[in-house]
Amino acid sequence: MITLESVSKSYQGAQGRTVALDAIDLKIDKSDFVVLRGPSGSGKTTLLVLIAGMLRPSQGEIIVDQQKLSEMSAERKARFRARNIGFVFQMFHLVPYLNVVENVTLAALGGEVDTLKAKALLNKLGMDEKAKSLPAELSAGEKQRTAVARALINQPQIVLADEPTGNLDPESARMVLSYLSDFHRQGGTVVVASHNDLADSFANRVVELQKGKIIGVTDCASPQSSQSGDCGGSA
Amino acid sequence: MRTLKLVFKEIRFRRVNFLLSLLAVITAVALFVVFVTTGESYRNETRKIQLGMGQNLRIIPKQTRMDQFWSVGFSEFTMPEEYVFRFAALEGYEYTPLTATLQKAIEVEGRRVVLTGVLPEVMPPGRNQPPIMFGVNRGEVYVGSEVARFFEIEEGSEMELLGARFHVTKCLSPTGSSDDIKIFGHLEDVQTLLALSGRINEIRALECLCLIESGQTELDARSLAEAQLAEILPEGKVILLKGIADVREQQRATMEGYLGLLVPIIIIASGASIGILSMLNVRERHNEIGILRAIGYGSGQIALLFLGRAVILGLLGAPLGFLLGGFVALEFGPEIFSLTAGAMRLNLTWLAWMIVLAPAFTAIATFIPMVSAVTWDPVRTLSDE
Ligand SMILES: Nc1ncnc2c1ncn2[C@@H]1O[C@H](COP(=O)(O)OP(=O)(O)OP(=O)(O)O)[C@@H](O)[C@H]1O
Ligand SMILES: [Mg+2]
Repeated sequence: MITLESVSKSYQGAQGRTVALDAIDLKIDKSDFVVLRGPSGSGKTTLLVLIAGMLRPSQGEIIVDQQKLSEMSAERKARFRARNIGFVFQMFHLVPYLNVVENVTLAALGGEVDTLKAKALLNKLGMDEKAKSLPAELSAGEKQRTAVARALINQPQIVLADEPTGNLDPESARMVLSYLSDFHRQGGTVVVASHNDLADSFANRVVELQKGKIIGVTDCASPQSSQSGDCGGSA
Repeated sequence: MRTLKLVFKEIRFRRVNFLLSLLAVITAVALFVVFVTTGESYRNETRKIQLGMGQNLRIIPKQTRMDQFWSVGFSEFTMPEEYVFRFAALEGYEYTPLTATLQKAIEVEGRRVVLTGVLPEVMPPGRNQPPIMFGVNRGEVYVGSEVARFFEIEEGSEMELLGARFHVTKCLSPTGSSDDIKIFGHLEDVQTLLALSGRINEIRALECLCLIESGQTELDARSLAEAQLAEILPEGKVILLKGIADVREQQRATMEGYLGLLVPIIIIASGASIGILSMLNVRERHNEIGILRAIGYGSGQIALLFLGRAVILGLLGAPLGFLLGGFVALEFGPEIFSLTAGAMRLNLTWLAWMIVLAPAFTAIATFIPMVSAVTWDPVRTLSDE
């Protein structure tokens, strides 16, 4: 589903160049629920953003659903992203002037605003009562559930989540992860950057990043088994 | 979701920024309208005044050499007396009484005097006003002060001119001009004396050559008068004397100079404030831009969000500013620019122009912030905090 071929990314910052990713090779299958782990600054967010085609790699090639991102125009990438990728962020990033339903339908590809579909999805996420609320009126967990609904509204092939549980209480965190897991079980590909050990228990692969390099990949035989040390327990 | 709906929701959410920007647009449009309206009215009024009392017009025979004319004070050639009636009958002009004169220097007892024949003033139809120049009856003369002094002439006496006798009705008081050496008589008497029957050598429209209000916007009284008069008075030559009109014209030029300076300053100032406000708006929306990109909005759509906002700003600001500016111009303009209130007119074509120009203007003012929004690196939004 997703292939990275010796992908590097460096940023030109105030203090010179920062190498965020250094010659990464990674294959993520359609049936994968991948958790990216690593200390702060190890390049997790950068990796997700590159997969989403929102940034160009400095070197290397990224292939998503058999299409080389480097060969797509910016507009085409935007369309591709809208259709195939759902995004969930740590800070929720809801549009402050749109209510819950509107935030969800915002992603609905410009034209067909499928409010009914959005409502059904919100229903499933236990958000039906808050459908008309503005983000400022929601709890953190509710915000993130809204963000998950937004990520899923277009029935994407891939959901990328960057620290989706970083600001949530354990109960909400579990809820959000289980929604992502549902999506995975229905055939979606999930890539989650997370410090949360809980995430590992849903993963079938854990990729360990450090200073822009992959330092370990663990395959978890059975997702959600909390037996394994790397895929569920405390790493 | 439709982009326009998004734009409206955002405007409602961040009202303060929008209202402040709107205020800047309204102010710019209003001031612009005030300036163009008063400027236009001022120009109209100036034109009226210019036409009303500016021009002293003289018509002399065509062959006259100007060096001779200005050194002597009158032409050595003549033209038909009938010209004064042709001029009086010319339509489109509202003129003051026309005077026709025939002048010639003659020797009287070894002394040069200027014999001046005056036609009783030709009055414009329907006008009743005291004559500007005196009229002299047949058989009578008025003598200039210098002539009276030298020849020791007294009022009521008789004098002989070129073999004919005249009654001296009046000895004029000194004027300090060439009139002092003139002897004024009735035009026909002078024509007879000089054997120039039916001839004159000057027509004057004193004080006024008023063009009747015409639909034409920029009437050049000068060229119009010259063209029309040249046509009906083929042997005549038109001389227009400058006067008050020129002073007024200068005032107008000065005022337009100020406007020429003020209008760009206003436009730059309000453009800058709109630019700054939309820059703040973009700052506030970095998050949102990141989200929109992440969920698949392209640069074009994001640009449209900001452009749409700018255009709405302009479309709202134009009529509101026009109303405000129109009100201010009509209410305070006459006093500030010392114009007659009636001269102040609101030109609706400016409204149309403002509705076109204001959105273009706000779009341009928003351009740099918009570019910064479009090129904003979404990763920075998504990764920080
Ligand atoms: N826009 C940018 N300009 C310059 N440097 C950047 C930029 N974005 C990221 N970096 C740098 O690249 C490196 C990787 O950053 P990234 O955000 O991918 O790490 P991360 O693993 O997501 O960290 P965290 O766990 O704190 O979110 C860091 O050193 C960061 O400072
Ligand atoms: Mg990160």
